[in-house]
Amino acid sequence: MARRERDPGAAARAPQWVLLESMRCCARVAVSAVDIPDSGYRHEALFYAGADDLLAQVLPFIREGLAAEEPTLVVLDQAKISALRRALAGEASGAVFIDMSVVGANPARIIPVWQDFVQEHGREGQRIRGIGEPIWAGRGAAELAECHRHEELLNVTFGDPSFALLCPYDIERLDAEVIARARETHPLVREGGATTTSSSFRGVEAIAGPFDEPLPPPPSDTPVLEFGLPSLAAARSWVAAHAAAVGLRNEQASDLLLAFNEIATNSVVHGGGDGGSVSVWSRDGAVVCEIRDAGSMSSPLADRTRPAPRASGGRGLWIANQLCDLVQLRTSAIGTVVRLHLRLHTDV
Amino acid sequence: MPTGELDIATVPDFEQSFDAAVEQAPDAIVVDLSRLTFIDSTGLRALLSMSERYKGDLGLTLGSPAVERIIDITGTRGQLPLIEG
Repeated sequence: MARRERDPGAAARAPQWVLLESMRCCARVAVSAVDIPDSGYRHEALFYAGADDLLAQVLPFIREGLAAEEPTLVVLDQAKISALRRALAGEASGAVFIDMSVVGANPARIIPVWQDFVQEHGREGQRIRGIGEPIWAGRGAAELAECHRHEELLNVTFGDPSFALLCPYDIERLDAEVIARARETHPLVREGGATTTSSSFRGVEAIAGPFDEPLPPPPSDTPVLEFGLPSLAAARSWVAAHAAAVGLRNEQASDLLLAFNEIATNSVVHGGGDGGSVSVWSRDGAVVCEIRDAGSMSSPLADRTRPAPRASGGRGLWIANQLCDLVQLRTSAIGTVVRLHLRLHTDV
Repeated sequence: MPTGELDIATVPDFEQSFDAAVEQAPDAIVVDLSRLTFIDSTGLRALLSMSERYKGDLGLTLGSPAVERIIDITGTRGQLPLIEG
């Protein structure tokens, strides 16, 4: 079985990330019931009830950071950002605000935003604060699965910098199952004003292993096409025809074709065989294009790492995530599956 | 002038034609990309590598939506000697 190394130099170029040491550090946090560090990496789920409660709980966290002159990034929806800005008044200029409904539309685009912020401000042990709410009521099932994966991967991405990240979850509006998953993806949980270690946290080492959570099956009778290097252009035409048949048009059709091509090229080059297979279907107002091959991926952050400006490769998954509304990546010893989702625009 | 689709299958031919042009030792080389209907990260990588090697002596003519899209998505505009098509 071929092992994929999309960009083996990436870890070396980003020494603060993906450190085994940080994994051990977080694993220790997870099993210790009393030793909650007040400095260093914290990834904490905050359970709140409604907008006023959120404000009451995050304002002290932000003010504390601003008072200590810690770089602070707040990624929430625009309404919550406006409410926070009003409450902070003149103090608000000390923090950076980004609209989560924009950067988090595809949850795989969030980690690079944090990476950029930490890289910009995290030098010489500078402590950093963040608030990020990637999960809101109304997220579909596939999006939720990827949001939980995003939360898990934050534990793998960060660890070394003095980074405190608070992830609000609205217990009034989210299903109990979502809250239960938040306990599995966060080493720390804050509820009723108190922070405790989460006993159901999966642990960083388990998270960094191959991710092969099952995906719902395609509709029955979905046609499948095998492709290889000689038939890549023909496969693009096949995908274009099937995507058009379910209503994908214009720029979205070109974007799907490019994203498919990037993933399929990875299959041809790294796929552990001569290529892979592709199928296209539509479900719940989105076009889904699935690419399968026999390779397996070793880096848990393969689809979150911004390629270096002069990188010679490793751009495929990054490009797919910039082009698509959602990219689902599953890999195991027997192969890799990538599902590209594009929501059908009804106005074109 | 490359036309059609630039991907992992066609990049080798494209690079060969480019090298043949370079061998004639021209003062400058302009690659007109305006008639490309498709280009992926493999094609972009070839352009980046040419731009690196022939800094100052190379121009790439824009005008193809596919070329614009891949440059924007990858944020590589500043690394390419682009000429408006």
